[in-house]
Amino acid sequence: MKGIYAYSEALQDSTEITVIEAEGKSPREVRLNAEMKVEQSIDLSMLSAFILGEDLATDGLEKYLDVFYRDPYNSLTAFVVIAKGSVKDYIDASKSWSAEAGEYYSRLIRSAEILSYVPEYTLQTTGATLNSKGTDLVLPYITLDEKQQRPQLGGVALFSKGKYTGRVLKPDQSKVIGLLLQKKGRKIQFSFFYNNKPLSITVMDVKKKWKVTSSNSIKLDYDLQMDIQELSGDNLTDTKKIPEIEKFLEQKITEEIEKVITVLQEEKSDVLGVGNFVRVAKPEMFDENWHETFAELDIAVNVKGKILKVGIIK
Amino acid sequence: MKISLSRIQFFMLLFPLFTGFVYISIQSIIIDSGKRAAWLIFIVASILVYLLFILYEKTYKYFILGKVSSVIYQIYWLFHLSLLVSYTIFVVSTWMSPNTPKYALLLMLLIPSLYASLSRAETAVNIGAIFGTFIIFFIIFILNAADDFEYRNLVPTSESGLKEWIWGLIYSFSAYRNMECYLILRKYVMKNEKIAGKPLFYFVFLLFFMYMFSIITVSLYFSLDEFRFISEPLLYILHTQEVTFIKRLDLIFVFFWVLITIITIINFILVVKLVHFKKKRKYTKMRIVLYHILIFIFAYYFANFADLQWIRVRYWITFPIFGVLLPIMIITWNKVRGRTIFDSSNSSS
Repeated sequence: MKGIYAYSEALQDSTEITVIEAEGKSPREVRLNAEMKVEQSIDLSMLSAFILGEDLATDGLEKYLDVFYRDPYNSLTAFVVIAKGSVKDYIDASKSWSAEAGEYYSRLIRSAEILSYVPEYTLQTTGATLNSKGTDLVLPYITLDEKQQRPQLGGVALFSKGKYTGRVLKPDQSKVIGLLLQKKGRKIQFSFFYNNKPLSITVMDVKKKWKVTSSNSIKLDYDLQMDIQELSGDNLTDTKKIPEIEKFLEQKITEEIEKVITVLQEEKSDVLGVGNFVRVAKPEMFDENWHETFAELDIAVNVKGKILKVGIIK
Repeated sequence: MKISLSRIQFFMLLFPLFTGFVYISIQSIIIDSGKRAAWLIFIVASILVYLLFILYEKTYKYFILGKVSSVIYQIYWLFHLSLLVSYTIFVVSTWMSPNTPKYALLLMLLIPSLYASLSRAETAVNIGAIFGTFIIFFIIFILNAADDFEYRNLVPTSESGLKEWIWGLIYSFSAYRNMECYLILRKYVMKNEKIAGKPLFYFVFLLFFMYMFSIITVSLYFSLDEFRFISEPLLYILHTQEVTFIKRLDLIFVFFWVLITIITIINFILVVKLVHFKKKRKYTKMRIVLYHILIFIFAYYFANFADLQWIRVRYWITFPIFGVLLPIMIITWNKVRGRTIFDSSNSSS
């Protein structure tokens, strides 16, 4: 196993990012070996982002995270991120930035969380989800822009039974996960072509109601409150247009959700926590083989949208 | 040794005795045993404990410790206090101060206790007032984690079967260990102070609320399977909270908890003194010093993970023996003989 640590070092008139690489049998040994390469001990109490290569994530996360939970000096509020390719490239890319690598990646994920491109997960909540039988993990996935060598959000990595499935939902689909797992204070933006004109909306609030309809089917009802952000070349003085747009948006968003649910079922990745819901609503449906049941579940989606605002022009 | 307590002082003495030691650790074992119904099991256990309190309130006058029962309780309390101290230094060395030698941590706990125990009894009686501030801050910071609460963790309670109910109840009762302290301290309450009825209900309800709050919040925060690994879930929640003014919120609360543990030790030693010095004895101060030295020695050897874990799993046994069975035997015995504490104190004086 190989580990890479990046931290800023104060020089006389500037700061420099120092990158240390080490190998070992476990994350703890990697850290011990890394400490031998620097004149100080590595303090993870200020850890802000933990980046794991996708090859390691396919093997399950638990064994890599144990050391973080066991030591009270570690920060458990750090973000957990899955990286495409070698983690070293992401750390090396940080050498030219003014911000520390950890700070950069935590800001990247934080802003993606606010826009609901990625669900909120820290080291602690990652651990809680890994130990939950009725829900799966979904973590931010970063890629490296080849030309600029700048990391960017590539979407979210889907997990099943604690292991990375190898499937990634791109940001336009990952925000659907954000919608389905909606947290208060988060906004989700969608853009479509409506009558060949760009239409952008922000979902301001989501009310969900799930129902088990039979032993093999579940219905997901979502009520969305939306603001129109952009609708060029059309005016909304005619109030009859609003219900028409609402219907259009309901249909489009339902289609987006259905596409994502199909992927989740293909990967047996219950990131929505349907298992936790079923365990409570209909316990006889939930057992050790839940992931198989989830993959075969008939999931019906019903979206109702209400446009509350259209901005300061009609 | 004689003291006279007002109702408030009586409850202030009891409150740390019931919550001080076990409060940060009891949740894991209750939830791991009772599973999804742990919170419901705890409610049932608390109702039964309330009935026991009512019974003790009606019969405390028959609780007279004889020579044998005094020795039994004093040996038990020595073991209990040693365990309390060893667990505290174990938690402090795990969460806060791993490089401090055990003996230094033991001295940190036992020197204040020794000082208070050698001082006037009022020191122990009034020191518990600090609790109020702690509770308010504690509740606020635990609720800071509300965004990560998963309400479905509490249901369905039907997942818990008979085995979960039995062990859940057994460990829930453990939260109310030290019931004998109620009986011992009760006779020192001034006669014109009313304890039965509403005051007792409010006291038990406050205990219940404190425990219930902790059980519910940790159940909401952690997955059920996590309780197998996490022994101090409340500290863990605080450890995961990000606040602007401090990096590690848990450390503040470990400090608070150490303070409260010291108060608990002081209060407990007051109970020991009340029993031991019921009759006038020579070398009072020497005996108190010796008692602290014994606690130091036992605690020093208990304070390791394997021994503490072994004891914690089996420690539920102390509630039925020393909190229920022995008091009821003593009460029944004296009731049959028609002896009350009032006769006993008259005869001894």
